[in-house]
Amino acid sequence: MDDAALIALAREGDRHAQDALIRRYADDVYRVTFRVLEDRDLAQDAAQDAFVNALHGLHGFRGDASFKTWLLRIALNSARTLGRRQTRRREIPLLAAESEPVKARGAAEVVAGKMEGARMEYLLQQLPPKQRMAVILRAQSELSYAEIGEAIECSEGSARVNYHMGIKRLRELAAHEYDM
Amino acid sequence: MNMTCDRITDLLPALAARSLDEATATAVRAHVAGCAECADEWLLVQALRDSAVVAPDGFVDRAAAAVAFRSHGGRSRNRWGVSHLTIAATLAVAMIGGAIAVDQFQRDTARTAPPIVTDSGAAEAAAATAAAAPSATAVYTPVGDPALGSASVVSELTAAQLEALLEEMDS
Repeated sequence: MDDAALIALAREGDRHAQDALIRRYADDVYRVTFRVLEDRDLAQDAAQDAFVNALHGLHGFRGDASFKTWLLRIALNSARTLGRRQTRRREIPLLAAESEPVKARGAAEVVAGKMEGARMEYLLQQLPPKQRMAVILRAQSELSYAEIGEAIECSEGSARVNYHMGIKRLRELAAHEYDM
Repeated sequence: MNMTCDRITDLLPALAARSLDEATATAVRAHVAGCAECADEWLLVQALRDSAVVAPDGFVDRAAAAVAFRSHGGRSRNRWGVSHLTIAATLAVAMIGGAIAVDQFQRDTARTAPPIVTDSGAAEAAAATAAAAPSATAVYTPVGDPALGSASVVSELTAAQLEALLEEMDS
């Protein structure tokens, strides 16, 4: 069933449709909240809040953007709100290395067997926030530049530039560390 | 990098996600096979794809439960399934109970501890005992807290007061 059909059912309170939307976008939403908060537990809280707010605010979804883009924008806002609150409490670890290791999708070794998933995490953290988010949304969540622009509130051109600058910087960092 | 390379690198994420049609995927692979720049970026895009963070086990069920809970008018709950109001109430009980316990301990200690007798004599010991005696009849008065009003136990707090306490803890 496509998003439009699921959304129509979810608007009427159909739990199966709501569950299907959560299942479909759980990884994307969690990935975004984790990227902002760099903490597994906080990212789960923010992702959960995002689904609650989105699925109970479906009347506000007009379909101008894709549901995925709309949902990821809500996820970003949830994460930023929680991040600000946690920053006041000074509970966010300064480095992701201080929190639990993250669970990666595939094998532990990537980039022709040279780079571990944790190392990629480290390299991503070296990027400025907008470049990092553009890279994640493009390379891992398959958003178009226009959708990335809507999600992180910048122009399509700016999203493209941020993605390519992020990729270029990652290549430089990887080459420096692994002599690729 | 020429325009062809620009176009190719734009398509690499879709190639990694296997969402390109077969003809386009074949063309992109052919270009990558003969272009060192694009081949290098292809390795990186694959690495990014393979190292993508995914939601922890059980997250989908927890999120679905939270959405359903909210549908029935429930308040938001965190990953442990505990509402913030419950946490506030528990902490309030712990703080108030702790204060009472410490106060009672100090009172008991003062009442039962033997006076310190030194070479200077029994007069000092008698004075210490006399000083401790009035505390046995003292009445406990909790320290005032604007969020708690006049309540001394959590069961006396109204929902509004608990909310105020929660807000105070959040800030």
